[in-house]
Amino acid sequence: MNCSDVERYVYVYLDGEFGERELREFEVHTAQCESCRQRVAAEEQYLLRLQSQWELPRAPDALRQRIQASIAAESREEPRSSLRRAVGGFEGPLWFSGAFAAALALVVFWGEVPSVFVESPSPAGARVTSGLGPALASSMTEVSSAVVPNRALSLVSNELVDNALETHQIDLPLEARGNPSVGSRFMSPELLALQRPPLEESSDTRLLGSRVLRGGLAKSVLFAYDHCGVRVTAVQTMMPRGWERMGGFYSEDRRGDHTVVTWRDGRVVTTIVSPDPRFDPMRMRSAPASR
Amino acid sequence: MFGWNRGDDETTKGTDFEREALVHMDALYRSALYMARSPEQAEDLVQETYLKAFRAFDRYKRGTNCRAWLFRILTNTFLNTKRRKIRDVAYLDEMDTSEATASPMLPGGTHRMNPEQAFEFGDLSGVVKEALAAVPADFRTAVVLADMQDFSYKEIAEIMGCPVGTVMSRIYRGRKLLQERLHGHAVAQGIVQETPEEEPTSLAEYRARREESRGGGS
Repeated sequence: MNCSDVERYVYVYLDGEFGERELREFEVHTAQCESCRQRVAAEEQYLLRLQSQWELPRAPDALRQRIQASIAAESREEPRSSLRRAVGGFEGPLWFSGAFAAALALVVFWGEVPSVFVESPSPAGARVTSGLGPALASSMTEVSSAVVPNRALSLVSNELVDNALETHQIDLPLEARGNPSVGSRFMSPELLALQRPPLEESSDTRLLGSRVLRGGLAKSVLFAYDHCGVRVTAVQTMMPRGWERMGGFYSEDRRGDHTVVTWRDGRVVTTIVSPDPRFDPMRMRSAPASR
Repeated sequence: MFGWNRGDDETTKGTDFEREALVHMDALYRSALYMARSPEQAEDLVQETYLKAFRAFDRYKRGTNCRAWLFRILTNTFLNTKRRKIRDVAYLDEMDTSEATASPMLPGGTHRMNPEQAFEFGDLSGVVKEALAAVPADFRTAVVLADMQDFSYKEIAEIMGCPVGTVMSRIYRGRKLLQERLHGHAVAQGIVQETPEEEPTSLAEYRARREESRGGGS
């Protein structure tokens, strides 16, 4: 590789999309070339700032309701054709799909989804969380900005805490249960670094399962635990390259009924949420520095 | 008596759709806000995406990457609308672009940047949306998928229906165009100094130029 290759492939490198051989060649060149190193560092800085600046509002409630209404209307309109596909052309009463549409219509009237209707993430759940999230997040700003005077970083950790709280409350279905080595099979290669669960299992702490979370700011994995009969979740997020160089942080925050613990170790930020106000992370946390 | 089976199918579809598809609404909406021209357009885009997704949900393989599948529908819908518009009412799109380019905050044209100052953009929040609006739709979409939604190149290739090499160049060009615009913004705001249009190619030339400017000054 030469300087113009570095210019050309700098994003492929920073996005972690290189194969092993190209990665080696790239790093061999940049190790020898000061100006390419500068170029890479500058582009990295740009991406880091770009990736942490997005405004991330929630979908407006009105839109949510409109979409649910249009889906309800849709399943009222075309129940026959879709049913026919499903049961192979059998003709018969369609009362149940009518009931389904009615249930959806009801949802639209109420403006939220009754809990019997969906067992996992619902707009209603999201709304509950959104009240709590920012309050906690803003308290996190103080904590993290005190430790790390970096705007991008505190913005990112805000979002991470927000996400972790939300994720904790919406009870996402898990992709892999139990054994974490099974969980890692579901992870994309860049997430393999996260395959070590953040909390150690013990007689009163059991790993329920894990799942990959994509979207939001970065690549994350959710681990759900049963800790003394309480569901505790941990979100591990792989931050972009360059985070290793930033100062580490550790913070504990108690607000309302939730305890939120955040720490950074290398490129990995871990956020633990427990609904137990007396939750003591030190009792169950793996030592963050042991990696 | 067969009603139960069918009913279950239909209920399952609704419940599955809630669980697998509707949970991604925030992600779709956030991306649409940066892809489309206005919040109204973004909302329409998300609504159309979900309607199409619901119609096609029987063909979606449950438990696979639903987020990528939805983004594929969103992206197709967005880019098709865009192309249709260009074909039918070309001037509309022209207005679109010229408006973005003419924005006083974002002087068009390219700026030479040196590594030290190229990345001094000042506060990016609120500026990127505007700067991104001036980036062509294909590149803009690639940047949103990569930098906001954190999809891999392979996923983006599937979403945009193009080879990985194309994704690579769309991301490259999108980010570069955005970078230029952001730099232009920073210059306009006085956050960074404009770099001379031509950097000296040799030390001799640099000295000559310096001499020249000194001579002119005194």
